[in-house]
Amino acid sequence: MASIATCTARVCLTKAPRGGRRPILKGWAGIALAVAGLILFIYVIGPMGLETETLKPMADFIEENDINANAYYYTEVDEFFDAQVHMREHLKLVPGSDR
Amino acid sequence: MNQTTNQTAENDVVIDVAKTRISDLWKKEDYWAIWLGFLILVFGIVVFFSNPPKDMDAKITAANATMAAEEARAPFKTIAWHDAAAAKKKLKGNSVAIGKFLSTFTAKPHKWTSNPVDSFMVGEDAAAARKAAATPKYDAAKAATVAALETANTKEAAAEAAGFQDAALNAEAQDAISAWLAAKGKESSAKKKAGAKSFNQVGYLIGLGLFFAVLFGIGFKVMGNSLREFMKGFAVVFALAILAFLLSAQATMKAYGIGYAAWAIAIGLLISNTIGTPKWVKPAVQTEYFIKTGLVLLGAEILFSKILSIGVPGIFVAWVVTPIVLVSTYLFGQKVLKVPSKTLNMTVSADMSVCGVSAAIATASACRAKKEELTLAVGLSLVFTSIMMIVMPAIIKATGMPEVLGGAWMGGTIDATGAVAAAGAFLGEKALYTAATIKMIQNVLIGVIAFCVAIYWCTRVECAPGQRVHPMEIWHRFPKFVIGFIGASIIFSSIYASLGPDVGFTLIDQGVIKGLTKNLRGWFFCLAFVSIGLATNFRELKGYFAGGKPLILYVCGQGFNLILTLTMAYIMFYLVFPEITARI
Repeated sequence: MASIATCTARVCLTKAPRGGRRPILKGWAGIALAVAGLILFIYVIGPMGLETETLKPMADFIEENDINANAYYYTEVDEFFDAQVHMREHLKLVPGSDR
Repeated sequence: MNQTTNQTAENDVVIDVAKTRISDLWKKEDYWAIWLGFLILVFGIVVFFSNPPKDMDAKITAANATMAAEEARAPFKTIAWHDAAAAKKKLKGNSVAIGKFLSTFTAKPHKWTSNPVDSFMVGEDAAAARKAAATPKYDAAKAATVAALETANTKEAAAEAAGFQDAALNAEAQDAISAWLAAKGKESSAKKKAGAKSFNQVGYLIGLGLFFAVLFGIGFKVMGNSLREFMKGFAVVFALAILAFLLSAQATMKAYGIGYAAWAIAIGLLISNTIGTPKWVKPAVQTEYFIKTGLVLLGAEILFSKILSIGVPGIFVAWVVTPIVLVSTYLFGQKVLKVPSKTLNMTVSADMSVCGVSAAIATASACRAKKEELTLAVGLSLVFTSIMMIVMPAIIKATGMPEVLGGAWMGGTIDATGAVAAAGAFLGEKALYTAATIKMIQNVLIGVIAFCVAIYWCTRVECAPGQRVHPMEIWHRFPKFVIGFIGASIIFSSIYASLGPDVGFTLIDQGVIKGLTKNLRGWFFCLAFVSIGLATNFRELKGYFAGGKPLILYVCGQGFNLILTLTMAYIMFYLVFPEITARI
């Protein structure tokens, strides 16, 4: 594990992957395969899945309402700002509210 | 922290001796993250605070006066009250010219369905075609709103004629107003689509890439590295980040809830494990530098002051359940599952109990988890988020659970924020507002949890059993970027509180955050995830999953979270604060 000594923090980020030199052709074939799989997923398998009875209602709803369903934090979703305003205005007479 | 590394040739043991030097201020990435983060935040404050929307104060005062008068006049929120509230909501810091420019300059690739080029540019003809396709729906939605408003006006007038003393007429008016608001919401969605405009993001993306290269490159150079090498590699890392955003912006991917973090890691992994990460790219593979700068910006989005005004029961649900689940899951992992890595255990526990990816990033950085551990935690969160986003609304509907309870349950348990919005809105408006409130309060917990984890790691985990850690030693070991992260949160919370909720919403939420820091933070996290992928090996990643322990930990923790959140939500919303529930 000589490579560890070259790192100054526990999250060592520049260590080269193990496994030796891969034939370049094999590497590019792997990339091509992944790209083909991705295209298949985006244009065929993914949309087919969204047509199933389980997923269709939610998928249609997200599309219809243009919801940013793959956001990670509340400031990335418009609906959260609406909720914030709604809750503040509707709860303002309640003890504990700031207005 | 400055670590002096001594290595003996016999056993390859790395000995860390913590020291703090004044030069750390310009030689350590923790401090550079703070400087860069605060540079952006100060810039944002100067720009948005000196360019408020026209007549902001007067408009807010007028709207508040109308709302107060309407509250005194009627026992329910009248049409005039809602109009005044909408007028206030329209005041946005990023609607001024400089705000619009910054939003456009820092924007990610746009949403697309079948042609990826649409993500970067849409010509005049294509925009006109989109507009034409969406206009009939918009016209129909507009007509529906007009009809709903007419009905609401009639019903409100009838209630007013009875002096607002007839409960049945009041209820009818309230229902009609709710129907009008729902119609307005649909009209607003339709309007967005009907307002399609031509755009070309390519030039902005090139400019943004150069800006990032200079921004991070200066620190990289001062830290003693080659600026030229960083710039060369950064072009690739940035291009891959664009690709990750492009894939996450695809309509089907949005429906599945697959975000940029998953794509960034996957793209990086694919390259590093097939053709290998080129040597010349590696100087720009700076996960910690990017992630810590992003976390300082995230700190400004953690606004303690506003959560007090958005729901007492939510605070109980989020702030009681979340720490209990976090600590229980961590202890379960250590005592029962015997997860070998404490950092992996903590990252998965925080990721599952708080709010997924954002919490995983903050906690992993605070306890210095390995990149593979963060990858694993993010992967688990994304898979379960997609499942829960579909399954939970179905269960809530099937069991006839009240909307508020269902919303609270989902807000407290579904990891990713976007999925909470989708699942909540799918159930109804009340569910959305409750779910969003709980998740927002939980989001705010990230700062506290990251700080506590950093302290716990410095004082308990990273020292020998029985060893008493001197306060200076804690300081030496403490990840300094956390100070920037917490500092940004405290400063922005104080500013928000001093401005008041209306001006705070306009200038901070809809100005500094929405117009600038939110986008930049997203880019920095994406660059970090690309870097993680480029530096990770599948075999090493597999090793961390040995025995499926992280999965078992996640499932058991989430199971406990589901039970405890539902119980607490029921107690708080239906037994302790039913009057608040009635107002939602």
